[in-house]
Amino acid sequence: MAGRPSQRRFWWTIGGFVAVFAVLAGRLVQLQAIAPRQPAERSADNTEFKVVRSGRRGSILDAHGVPLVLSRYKVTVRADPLKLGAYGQEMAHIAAPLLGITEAEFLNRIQPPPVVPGTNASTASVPQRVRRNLGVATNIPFENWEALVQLLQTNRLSEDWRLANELTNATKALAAQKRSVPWWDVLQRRQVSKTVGARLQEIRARYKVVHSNSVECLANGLYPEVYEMRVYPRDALAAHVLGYTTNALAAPGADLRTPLPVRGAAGLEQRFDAELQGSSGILESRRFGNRELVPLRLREMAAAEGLNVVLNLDANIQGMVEEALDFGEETLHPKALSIIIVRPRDGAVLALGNRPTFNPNIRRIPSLDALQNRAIMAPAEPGSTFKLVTYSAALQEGLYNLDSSINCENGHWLPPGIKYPVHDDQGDHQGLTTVIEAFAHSSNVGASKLGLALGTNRFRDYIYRFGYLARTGIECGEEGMFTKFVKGRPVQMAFHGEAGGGVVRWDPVAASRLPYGYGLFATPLQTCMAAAAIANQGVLMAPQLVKRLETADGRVVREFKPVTVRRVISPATAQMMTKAMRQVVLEGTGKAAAMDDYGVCGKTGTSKKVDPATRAYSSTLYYSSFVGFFPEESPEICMMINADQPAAAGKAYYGGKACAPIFKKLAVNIAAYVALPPSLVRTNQTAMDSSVIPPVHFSPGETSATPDVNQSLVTAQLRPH
Amino acid sequence: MLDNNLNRRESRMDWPLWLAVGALTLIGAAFIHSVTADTDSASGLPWWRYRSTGHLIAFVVGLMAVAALCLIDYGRIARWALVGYWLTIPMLLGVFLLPPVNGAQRWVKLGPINFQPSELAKLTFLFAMASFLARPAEELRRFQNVLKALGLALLPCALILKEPDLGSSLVFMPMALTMMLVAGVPRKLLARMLGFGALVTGLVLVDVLVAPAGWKFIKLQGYQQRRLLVFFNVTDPSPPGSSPEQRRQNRLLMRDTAVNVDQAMIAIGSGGVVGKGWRQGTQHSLGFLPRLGAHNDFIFSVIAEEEGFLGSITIVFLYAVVLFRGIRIAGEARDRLGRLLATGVVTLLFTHIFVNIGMNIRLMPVTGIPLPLLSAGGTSVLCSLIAIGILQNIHLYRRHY
Repeated sequence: MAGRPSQRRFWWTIGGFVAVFAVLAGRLVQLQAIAPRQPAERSADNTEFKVVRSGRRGSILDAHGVPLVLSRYKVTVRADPLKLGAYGQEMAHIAAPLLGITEAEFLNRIQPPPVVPGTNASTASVPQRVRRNLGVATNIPFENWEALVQLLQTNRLSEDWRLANELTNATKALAAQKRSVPWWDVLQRRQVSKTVGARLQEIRARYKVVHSNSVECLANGLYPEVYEMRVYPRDALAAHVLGYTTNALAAPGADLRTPLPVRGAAGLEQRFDAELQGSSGILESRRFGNRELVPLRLREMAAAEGLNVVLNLDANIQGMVEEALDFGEETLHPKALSIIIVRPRDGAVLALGNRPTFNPNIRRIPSLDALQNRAIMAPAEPGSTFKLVTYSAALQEGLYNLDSSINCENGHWLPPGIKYPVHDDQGDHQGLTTVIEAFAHSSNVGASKLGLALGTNRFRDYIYRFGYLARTGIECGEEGMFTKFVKGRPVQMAFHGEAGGGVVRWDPVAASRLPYGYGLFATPLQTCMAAAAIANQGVLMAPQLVKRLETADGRVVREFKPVTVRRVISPATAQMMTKAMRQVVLEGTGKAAAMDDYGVCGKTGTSKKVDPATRAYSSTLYYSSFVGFFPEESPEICMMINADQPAAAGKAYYGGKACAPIFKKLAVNIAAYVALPPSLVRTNQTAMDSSVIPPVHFSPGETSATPDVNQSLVTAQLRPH
Repeated sequence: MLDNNLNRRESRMDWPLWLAVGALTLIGAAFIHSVTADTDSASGLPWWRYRSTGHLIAFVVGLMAVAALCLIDYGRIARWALVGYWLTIPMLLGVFLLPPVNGAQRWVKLGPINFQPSELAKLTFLFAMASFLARPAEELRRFQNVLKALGLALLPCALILKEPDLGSSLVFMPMALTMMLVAGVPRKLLARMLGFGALVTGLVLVDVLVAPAGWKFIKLQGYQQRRLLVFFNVTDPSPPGSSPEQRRQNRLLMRDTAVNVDQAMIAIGSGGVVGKGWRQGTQHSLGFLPRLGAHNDFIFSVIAEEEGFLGSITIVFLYAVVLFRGIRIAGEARDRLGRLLATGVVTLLFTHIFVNIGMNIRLMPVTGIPLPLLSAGGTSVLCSLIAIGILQNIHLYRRHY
């Protein structure tokens, strides 16, 4: 055998083989045993895909099913200039008509944005980052986009066609030429292959590039960014009630074709966010290229539309309220204005509006002032409307009755043990008078005397019973954050139902002021509900905006029944209070609210505001309000109007001057709309059930012949204004 | 190993070798079936024309060829070595007269069989080289003889490179070097040759990878160059100053080239330890592995994906058995010629295995080279079997009877 060197070499060779096999095995261990997860995921990525389908958000409908807000899918069409390549012109021709723009506009928008000034020739060679998301058209209905996709899928670009034909022809030519050469002439055949074949190769290469480019251009040159848009058919109508939405972060696995989730950020949209939200569906499947392999589908879940929220709110009444608000804003120039209308019987909120307001269709962030739903969010010292509580308590406790005499001290009284006198600042200052007259003319001295007679504990009890200092539970927003000045510093406070919440302080001075509405904060809604409790035979109802939840096809999912909070005063006391409130409109401070055909009961309120500059009660800044209901016998509508800092001339800032006329204007319209039968001359009739609105005949002859109407006209003429 | 006793009862068949070979071939047929059965049945072929059946047929034919081969002592065959060698060279040249298939001139169409002369050339070269180097070791100290041996290798190598078939041509140099090493060519000369080879390879790589356009002396095919670039993780080979459109085209081309390797890696990695199961692989069935390559050059990826680490390490183990039996046979050979032949066969198989598996697991750049016995392709299976048959022949005639 060969000598030792040869043997050594042999072993070296074996060693080399062993080493190389060890490397192979090691690499396999590394790839497959140690870190197989990432390739495994990528292998799944190759074939598996996931589509998140969003369920459309539900609508909010008014009492008659009129949509106040609804969702529409819209598309922003974007262009990737790298994918469009040289086919921009042709794509413009195909796509522009469906996008509602001209071809020139299309071409203009797919131009890359101009080079940033300051870049010079030396940096021109550096490849620029190209924006691949040029906006082409927005606010395109989803259906249009789908039509466009259909069109693009069935189209083929002209250059693609041309080269395909050229390729076919060249192939045919080659075959023909080959046929002309006998099979044994190898060299000749080879020559033919070389010449024609080279041309064929060239065309094929070109076709491959052009075909893949054009297919890519059609498939991905334009791409959609789908979004769900909340549409408000009546613009600013009930904007504060409805609230608004924002976009949440994209769900995991979602791409641009899945609209961003819409989430309620205020109002009913926020409170009923979970119910309005559709449940998103999902499709997990495998694909081969761009096509889904349907038999290999992994998981599919259909998306479901969200529930519709049906309101008690009536879009027509709300429309009247919006008109009245506009009118009030023009005439009073207030800082803010709110109107609330509830049905006393069940607490249904028929309308709720504020000024300033915003148009949710305009996608611009309005001022915070405009966003605030003041009717429920802006507590203020209520002033004289709070006397409803004082007088109700005093009457209920039997301390006085309406005809008891009371000395109003000619508008100036120093309560015992207190250094600060109580002033009347409205109406003619009264001396010795009756309780009903003191109420009608809104005597502060009278109210103060009643409140002090009640004593702190009993009075406080009634304040809570009427629902003050606690949230009413209305669905359209967070109630009653208010600012209280503690040692000169503003402190954010909230109603929480505990003693002291919402009250500046409970001390002897406050005890003399509270009875006429100072030293305590109340929202317009709280005052409105308190008045509605009197109208409802003394039973306080919770305000209710939402009547029911139903599915998109109208199946009722949940019905909201009227919620009775508690009995506040006895029906007898309520009757007495109704009478007193009627007197306010007949003889007292609220004459401007009187209607011709209906007995209106109400109470005016005017409170001085604290001037933030001096932190003392101002003599120029007022908060005036009017709360009332009608018709007297069976109150159907309870309405609260309040104006923050009305800037009307003269003494028109008083609740009776500023707000009562608006009340009247609105009440007349609403009465006509809900077809309340005139009631002033029919006081002996039983209270009518307004859930069934009696048919009203509008034939002219009959109307003019109705004695009731004539009678009411006579009455109206007789009544002093 | 070398001082084996003269045991009369020792088998004349090398059973471990043939068991491993049989196992590999059957596994190959199974996975070729996994990849191609759907396409074949979809194109309406009868079962006996399926590519997996073709694989088995090639195996049987190969076994018959081996049986025939074993009738004659390898020493007698080697006498015809140079004749065979010089008959193969014109065949390699003749390929250039035929029209190209898929852009290369590798195949000779003989009826239903696509015959690759380069496969035959590997065998005839093996015999020619072995019989040349079988002369006494002292003669190999002469530089002239070493040069002749080198020339013997370079001639078919260059012709095959021109086809172009980089993979096949790559096989010749390792074979030549290992055989020379075992034959006893002085170490200094071998070291020089290796150094020279490394230098040339380095220069070629530098030229291909980094040289500016005007300085490219090596005219590799575009795809070959891109495969090299992919191996070195170059994503944008555009020379400076090229237009964005050119850059984009180049990047796209590079991406398309990288896709194969990338997807092969994904296939192997996603197999994990136990794999996805036979015929359950998604990478080849959904077309992520190259359609034309999944059943031949990328068959290892398919096995690794469907049978996982256990499958792939089994394959490596079976090849190791084949190679080590081969080495053992080389050690037991009765003369220099037998030892050189066996070494050559082992190196031939080894190079194929290493380059192919290496390209699948990204240890090597992509070169189209089949995996012996596993990859679909009649010529490859036949030639691999004949090569192993040579081993058997050497084993059979290891003693002078």
